[in-house]
Amino acid sequence: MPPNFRYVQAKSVKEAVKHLAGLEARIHAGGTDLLGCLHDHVFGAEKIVSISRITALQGISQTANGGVRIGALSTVTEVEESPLIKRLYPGLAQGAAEVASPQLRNQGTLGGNLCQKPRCWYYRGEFHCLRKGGDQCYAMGGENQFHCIFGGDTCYIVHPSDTAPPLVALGASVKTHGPHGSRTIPVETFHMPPARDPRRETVLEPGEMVTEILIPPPLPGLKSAYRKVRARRAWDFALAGVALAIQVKDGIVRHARVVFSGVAPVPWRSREVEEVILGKALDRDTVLKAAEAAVKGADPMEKNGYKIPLLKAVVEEELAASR
Amino acid sequence: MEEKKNRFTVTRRGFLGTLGTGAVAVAATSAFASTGVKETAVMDPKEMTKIKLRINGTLYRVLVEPRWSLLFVLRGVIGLTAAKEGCGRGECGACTVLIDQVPRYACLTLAVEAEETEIVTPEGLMEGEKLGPVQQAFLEHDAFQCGSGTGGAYPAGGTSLVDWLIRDLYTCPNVHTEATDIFVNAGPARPFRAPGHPQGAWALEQMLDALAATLKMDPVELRLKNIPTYSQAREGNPPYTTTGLRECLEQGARAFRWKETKKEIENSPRGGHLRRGVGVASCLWFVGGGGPPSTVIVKLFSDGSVNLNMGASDIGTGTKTVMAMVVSEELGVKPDLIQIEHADTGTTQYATPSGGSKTVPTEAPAVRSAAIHVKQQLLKLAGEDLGTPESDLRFQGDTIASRTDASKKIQVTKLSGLRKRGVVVGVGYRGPNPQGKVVNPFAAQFCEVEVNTRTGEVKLLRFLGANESGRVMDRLTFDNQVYGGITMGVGLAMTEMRVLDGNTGKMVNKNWHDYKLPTALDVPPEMVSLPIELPDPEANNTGAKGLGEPVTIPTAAAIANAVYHATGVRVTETPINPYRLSALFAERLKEE
Repeated sequence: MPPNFRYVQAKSVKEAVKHLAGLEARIHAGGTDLLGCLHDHVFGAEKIVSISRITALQGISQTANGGVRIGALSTVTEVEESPLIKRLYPGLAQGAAEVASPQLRNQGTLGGNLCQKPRCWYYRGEFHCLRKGGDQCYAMGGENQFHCIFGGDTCYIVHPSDTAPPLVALGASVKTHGPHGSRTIPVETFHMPPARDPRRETVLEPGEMVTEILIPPPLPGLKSAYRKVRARRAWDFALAGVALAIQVKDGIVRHARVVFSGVAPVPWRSREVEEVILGKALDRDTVLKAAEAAVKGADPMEKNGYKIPLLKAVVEEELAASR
Repeated sequence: MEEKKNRFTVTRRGFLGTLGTGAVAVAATSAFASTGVKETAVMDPKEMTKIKLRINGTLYRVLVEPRWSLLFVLRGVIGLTAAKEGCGRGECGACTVLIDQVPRYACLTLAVEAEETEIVTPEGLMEGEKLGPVQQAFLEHDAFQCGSGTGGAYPAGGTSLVDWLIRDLYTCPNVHTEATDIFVNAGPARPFRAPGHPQGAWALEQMLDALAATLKMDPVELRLKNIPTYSQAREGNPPYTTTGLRECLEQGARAFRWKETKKEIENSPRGGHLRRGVGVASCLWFVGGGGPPSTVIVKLFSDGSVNLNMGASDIGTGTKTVMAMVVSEELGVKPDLIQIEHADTGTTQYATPSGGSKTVPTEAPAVRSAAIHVKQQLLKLAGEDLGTPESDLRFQGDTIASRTDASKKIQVTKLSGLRKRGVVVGVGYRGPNPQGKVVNPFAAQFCEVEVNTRTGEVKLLRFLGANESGRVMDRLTFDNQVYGGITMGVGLAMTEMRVLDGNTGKMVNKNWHDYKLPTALDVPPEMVSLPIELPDPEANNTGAKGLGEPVTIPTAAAIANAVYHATGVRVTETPINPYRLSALFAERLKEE
């Protein structure tokens, strides 16, 4: 059992932000990641501010401009099963369906899925690693078979979310509220690369919380999809995955966003793949070139070199399928 | 239920300081009583707070600390223990409860978060003793939940049995093996089910497959040409009482449609990157015949009920079911009249551990002997009552009757000797095993897979386990052993591994997320158990041999052989998963 903490159930966002000030406070939404981390002593909490019953943070609805607003407290199951999301953004529904287990999807929230802590076994284990305030990354020269091949810099985690890559692909933003008011941040820049700060996962400031996720209206004929490969067929994080949002007109790719999961410390947008396919037909030659471009600049460690052929295979398969 | 309206208001207060922090009060009342307090209070960790939980339709008032999980409160405070603590961190699912009709993990739900919800635990799905829908579904679909432990204090097993199958399974005059233990600076390991055998089968059965390919021979045919009749690894080459391997392979192949499926796969065009393949592997288990000592006491009471007293424990394998069936068959007593008293050092006899697939072949013969001993005494009592010699009497269900005079019969419970004493006590001892012979169970498994030859994803399509373990004592527990064995073998083949940090020697995957056990989606949707029931009267007086371990020995090798058949890639290191396979496929692409 973790050490005890103060606990408060906030009735409004304003109240939650007020309670988040001061002590080492943690937000409780679905609680799935928070309680696991407290249990494993990944971090401590002097105070838990529960936002789980703030009704204003719930619900999935269409916005005036034809996009969608998802309250941060919407469960992953609600995102997965929403007819609106299935119709407009099937890639996001697929991503949500790939998360964890049915019970965790019933409990975990979309806001929490975006803000979750990494699953690196050193970070979660009994190693005082850089991300936990130590002075080294144990994955360097260690057991790095599940670590990143892009964007590692002093810390080599992979971002664990299956919903963030489709959201980046769809050009979504998060709306936040903090002591200095509200702001809107594109999901693409919401996560913190280790090169900038290896101890934070998001750009959220102390006391700031995600309140909603906004997705712009889909371009006409936009196809979105998410594909994930994992070591176990359920209840597992991505070894490699790809989220696509592609608009094809007259057989030619007019808009493309390609985002990887499981290979980088943040959802990894591949402008390399996008450049190869933009303005082209997704024929075999283009798809093979795109798969090559997908791993350009990859920098594997001792034990995760397999992610290069694996990522190529996934990109090739998904692009070929979205012709 | 009026409280439902207040779902989003917070109605709790810090607990009055009259109780010590360790004290807990639980009160169940039939209706909510509103406190009417509306302000948001910060719960102080130093104080217990009173909350209300509606569980299975009953309202409980409990005192909790903020950090207490709902699971902790359910089990430790309220005493509802059907939801289990497996991992405590959302990795096993044993604590699932319904919260407002939605399945969630009680271990990852703070009790304070569950206030004013409707909680239903597995107890709440039951109607008295009648099974609820979940339990019924578990029973009907042979589902199960197994616990797991961490490594013990002392390493055991080592290489001592790793090469046994290689030396013993197939008759071959030129077998030479060398095995070396290498000590590493790591936590101790304990043997996997069937110590050394799944690992040995992984090597031997893949070699057999490679041999068959070189010989251009069907791998089933090659195995059939090398069926053993004696144990070549043992001194003096003693014969087996029975060798069911031929029947396992032949009948298994027929039931699996081995030849037809293999041909169909080999003749279909190989254009796409999804490839199907079939694999076979077989085994014996080097013990599994059981043996003395075992002493069992069977008491038949004058009301017709029975007490079975034995030392052996039931580790979830159905030992009690099987032993009750032995008594039932021998004495003609309904199983629900048999009470079993076991695994208690204070009241039962010495027994050897429940391991080695030997509990049934060790205990069942002693149970049968004890029941026979009861019958002998009953015949004597009946002879006295009926005035006939014992040799003229026989059992007809719950009645003892004369063979020659139809008018002379008496119900067992009416025997005056039994009524006077109230009980007849029979003692059974496990007799010796046949001299100069070996009692081993045999098995063969067949599987079909679909492999994505780019990503390395392997889908198990179907599995068949053919097991020769002598007499099938109970079909349901037999089949469940087979399904469980295959499931465990899937773990070895495809998901499980122990990863030690090379620099510190610490295990990095010591939780149920990183140490991956197979989930329901990882086991094949179609699993068939095909019992091969050969009479083995020499083995013991029940003809039963062990089953618990042979069911898992060939599984991993069969999967590896099927993956080879599908892709032409031989995987020599477990687990077979996308990260190993995608690398192997990429290597092969480079070579091409």
